[in-house]
Parts: sequence; C-alpha cells; structure tokens
Amino acid sequence: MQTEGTSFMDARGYVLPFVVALAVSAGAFLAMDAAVMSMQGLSLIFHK
Amino acid sequence: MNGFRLSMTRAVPAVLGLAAALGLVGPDQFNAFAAGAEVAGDAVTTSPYAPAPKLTAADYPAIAGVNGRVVVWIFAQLHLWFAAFVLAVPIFVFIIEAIGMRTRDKRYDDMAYEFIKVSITAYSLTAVLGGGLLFSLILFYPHLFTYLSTIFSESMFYYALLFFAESAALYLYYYGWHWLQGGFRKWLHLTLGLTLNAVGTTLMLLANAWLTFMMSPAGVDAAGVFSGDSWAAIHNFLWNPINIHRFVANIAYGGSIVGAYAAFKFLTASSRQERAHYDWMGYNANFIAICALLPLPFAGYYLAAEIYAYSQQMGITLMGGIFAWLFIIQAVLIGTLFLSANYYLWCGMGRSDGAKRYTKFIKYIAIVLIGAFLVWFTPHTLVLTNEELKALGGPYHKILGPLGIMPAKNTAVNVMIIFTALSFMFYRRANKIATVPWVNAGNAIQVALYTAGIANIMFLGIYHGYFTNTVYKVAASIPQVLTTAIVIIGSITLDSFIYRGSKEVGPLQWGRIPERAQYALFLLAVAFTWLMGLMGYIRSGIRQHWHVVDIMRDASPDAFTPTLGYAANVVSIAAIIFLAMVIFVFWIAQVSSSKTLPAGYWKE
Repeated sequence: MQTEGTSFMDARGYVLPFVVALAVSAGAFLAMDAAVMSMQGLSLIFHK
Repeated sequence: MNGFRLSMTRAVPAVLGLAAALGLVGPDQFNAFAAGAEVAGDAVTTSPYAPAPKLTAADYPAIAGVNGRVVVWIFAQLHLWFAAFVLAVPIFVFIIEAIGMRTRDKRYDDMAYEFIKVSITAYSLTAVLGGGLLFSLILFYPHLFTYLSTIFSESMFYYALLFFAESAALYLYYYGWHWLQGGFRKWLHLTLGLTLNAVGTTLMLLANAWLTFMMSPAGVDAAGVFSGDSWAAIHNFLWNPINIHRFVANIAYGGSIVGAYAAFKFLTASSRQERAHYDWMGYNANFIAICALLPLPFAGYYLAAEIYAYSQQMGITLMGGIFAWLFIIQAVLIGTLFLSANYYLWCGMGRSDGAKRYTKFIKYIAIVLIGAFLVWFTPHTLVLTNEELKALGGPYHKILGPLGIMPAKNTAVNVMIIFTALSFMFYRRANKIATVPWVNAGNAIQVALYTAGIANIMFLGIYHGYFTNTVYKVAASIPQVLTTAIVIIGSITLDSFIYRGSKEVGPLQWGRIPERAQYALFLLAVAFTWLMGLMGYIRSGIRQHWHVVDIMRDASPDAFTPTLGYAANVVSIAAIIFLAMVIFVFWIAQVSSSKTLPAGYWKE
C-alpha cells in the first residue's frame, strides 16, 4: 500500500530524472544532428 | 601464361596490399613497394596483357543442352551459402572458446566444440561446391575465366595456398580440441582458432575482389588491358563495402544456421538435460545472429550508397529499376527476421519466473515492430491494371505512397532495431532484481534516452525526408544511424550499471520454452538463406549485359536480365537444395555421436 508521501517521493525519484535526462538527451541529439549535417556541408534546418 | 608469371614487382605489392588491408603493414611500406613497381612499369612500353576479349555467342560452349548460366548461378550460390557458414562459425567459436577460458565455465567450451563439429562436414561441402563452380565457369564461360584469371593470377595462386593453410588450421583446431586443453595448451588452441579466422577472412577478401572487379573494374584501361598492378585490381571501388557487408552478414547467417541446428537437436532431444543444453545453445546462436543483424542494414545501406557513388546507372537499376520489387521482398524477409528473432526472445522469457514484470510490454513492442515492418515494405509505386490506375488517379497511393521513399524506410528500420534492442534488454532483465538505490532514476534516464532517440529519428526522417531536397534526405540518414547506435549502447551500458550486484529471481529454467519457439529459429535460418540468394542475384544482376562492367560484354544467349519470377524460382530451388544439404550436415553430426553395439558380431 503506497501512501501519498511515498507516491510523491517516487514521482520525484522518477519524474525529475526523466525530465532532466529527456532535456539533456534531446539537446545532445540535436547537437549531434547539427554537427553531422555540418560535416556534410549542410545545416540542420533546410535553406532553399 | 603471361599473367601467371610471379615477378617480384607484382607479387610483393599484392601481398603487402592484402596485408595492409588486414592492418598487418602500414601504408608507407606498401607505397614504397608500389612506387618501385611503378618505376619498373614505366620501363615497359608495351603491355604484355591483351585487352578484354570481344565475344560472340559461338564463344560460349553448349554442353549437353544444359543452361550454363543456371548451372554457374546455382553452384556459385550454394558455394557462397556454405562459405558464409564455414567462415562465420569459427569466428564465434573462437569468441565462445575465449569466454569459456575467461569464465572457466566448461559449458562454453563444449558448446564451441559442438559448433565447430557441425562446420566440419559443411567445410567439405564448401570445397566440393567451390570445385563445381570452378569447373562450371571453365566449361561454360572459358573466355571470361581466362580473362579474370590473367588479372587475378597472383591472388588465385595465393588463394590456393591459403586454402591449404585453412584446411590445416581447421583440422588442427577441431581434432586437437580435447588434446590441447588446460594452461598453455589451451592458449595454443585459441591461437589456432585465431589463425583459422585470419586465413578464412583473407580467403573471403580475395574472392570478394574477383566479384567486385566485375562490378567496378580497376587496374585496367578502357579496353580492359591490365596495368599489371594486382593491388589496384583487388582494391577496386566496391571491394571494401562488400567486405564489410559480407563479414557482418556471414556472422548473422552462421548464427542463424547453428540456431537451426540447436532447434533441431532440441526438438529431437530425449532427456530434460539435453533439452536444457540445446535450449541454451539456441539462445546463444540467436543472440549472435541478432548482434550481427542489428548493424547489417547499415552495412547494406553503405554498400548501396557506394554502388550509387560508383555508377548512378547501376544504382538506379538496383533500387529504382527492375530490381526495385525484389527490395520489397527483401523488406518482407528482413521484417520476418526481426519478428522471428524478437518472438524467440519473448518465448525465451518464459525461462524466468521474473519475466511476468515485462510481458505486459511485449504487445506494444509487437505493435511497433509490425507498424515499422509495414512501412518498410510499402512500395513507392504499385503494379496496377488500367482500371486500378484510373481508380487511384495514378501509380501513387495518396496516403501510402509517401511511405515508399527511403527516408520512411530508414526511419522504420531504425525504429525496428531500437525496439529489438529493447526486447533484448527486457529479456536480460527478466531474471534480475536491481539492488542499487538509484534504480528509479536509472530507469527514468533509460526511458528518456529511448524517447529522445526515437523522437530524433522521427524528426530526421520526417523533416529531412519530406520537407527538404534529396541531398538532405541522404545526409540525414547518418545521424539517424548514430542515434540508434547511441540509444542501444547507452541504454545497455546504463543497464549493466543498474544491474551490477543484482539478485536473481531464481535459477533460469533452461529447456522451459515452447516448441514453437524452435520454429522461429528455423524461420530465421530459412529467411536468411532466401534473402542472401535474392540479394546476391540483385548484386550480380545489376551488371546487366556485362561480364565486367563497361569492359567485357556478355555475348552469350543468356545476356539478358531474367524476369523476377524466374530468378526467384532459381534462387528458391537453390535454397531448397542448400537446406536439404544442411539437414544432411545436421544428421551426420548426430550420427557421428551415435554408437551401435552388435552383440556377438565381433570376436571376444
């Protein structure tokens, strides 16, 4: 049986790392995309 | 016989070039010899080599009313299947033996021995079929064979010598297994395994040079006159892309064939211990096949990109012309491979009592895999009747048509690979309970990594695939592949930290797997076999009416591209012959361990 307190603690123990890791991973992936496209002489965002 | 003269100026660069490819000597050493050869070459004003012959239909012998192309095709295909098998098995036998030495778990050593035992008969069949291919080439395509053997005289000579070396290494490795046990002897045995693999891989690299020369000739002028530079002919444009693709594919293929062997033994096992042993063997074989299967689409994509880079015409024939529909069949077969490998893993989770925690996720993985599978084999255009064309308003389906282009396929295959890795991770976790205090945070990071990775793959596939030009579409496939690699390596690394010092739910129940899972292993082997045959036909077929592209024209009555149905029939017949021979190999392996004690037959 979970109490409200432990549920909140679980949420903090799970949700916070998830949000931080998601932001970091997404940023890192976009940086990698930009770098790899740049190495091929292109930009991440398409310009006609 | 000019081509068979082994002058130092040509022989040394060839050997050093091969050694350079294997990383045995540096580029400086090779270049020094190459420069020397060039100086020597300059002194010769007229080439001792003749141009590629211009043939007529009369130059192709008709023997006993047999179709030479089909004979060569079937021999080449059967030889390649067995060669792939016997080259791959020693690679993972070596790895398994090394694992056994490190863990001192004899089960690994026994399994490695059983794997190599299966490949012994297959090795003889490979040689027999190689002989069949050689004779059929000499008989049906004598001028082509003469031309190729002039250019590759040295590599063919070394190939023959290496073949002896491989046989010696294999027999010592197999027959010395129980003799070379413990301490230094075991290290000696492992070194024999390494030698066997080095020689086997070199053989494959040499043979690959011959076939890629026919696709992207080098070391010859426009008339086909050989420059005398063997290394240039070997190191032609498509050599390394084929080398990489074949090396990875052979491992996946070898894993699938020994997986089928384990399944066969599992189904015929008479005791619980035997079932447990072959279940464990099947799991390991499937694991090897999956590990090699995951990077295989990328190796194939690289090969296709290089074919385009070498010749746009060949590239368009490959995927935009007559062979495009075979790529739809390829997608169906590769999808089958992914589904059967995943299905086997899901069934295998039944070995652990802790798997119940993860079984609820399987249906979602299955939905994603099937969705990606459907995208992968959606064709760009459809084969339609006039009425259907009118009803549809053209050859493109309004909704499904956009899924027919490469960015959609790339996105689908990356998603399939990521979800297959997820299946494997659940399997790995099934029997474990993490004990680290940060388990929730670790899980959260893993979920975030998967979520961000999949979102990035979708972004690259949709934005660059549909809202940019072709250059961007192709370029975006590289970060897609890197994203997949980062997600898989990152999550497995994190998982190993989360489960460091973990508790086991209970002992793994090897043998507790439904029999239908074994049929998934059979399906894996059959799908691989058929796939290799069909894709091999495409690779060879894109030369169209050329023996050697743009150099030596095929003037035989068979110098046309057969219909896909005809080609599929030839490949299917060859696949049936091969699988029958594989069953024979399995049976022989079983017979070799059976004993009959005839009472009263022998003198006491």
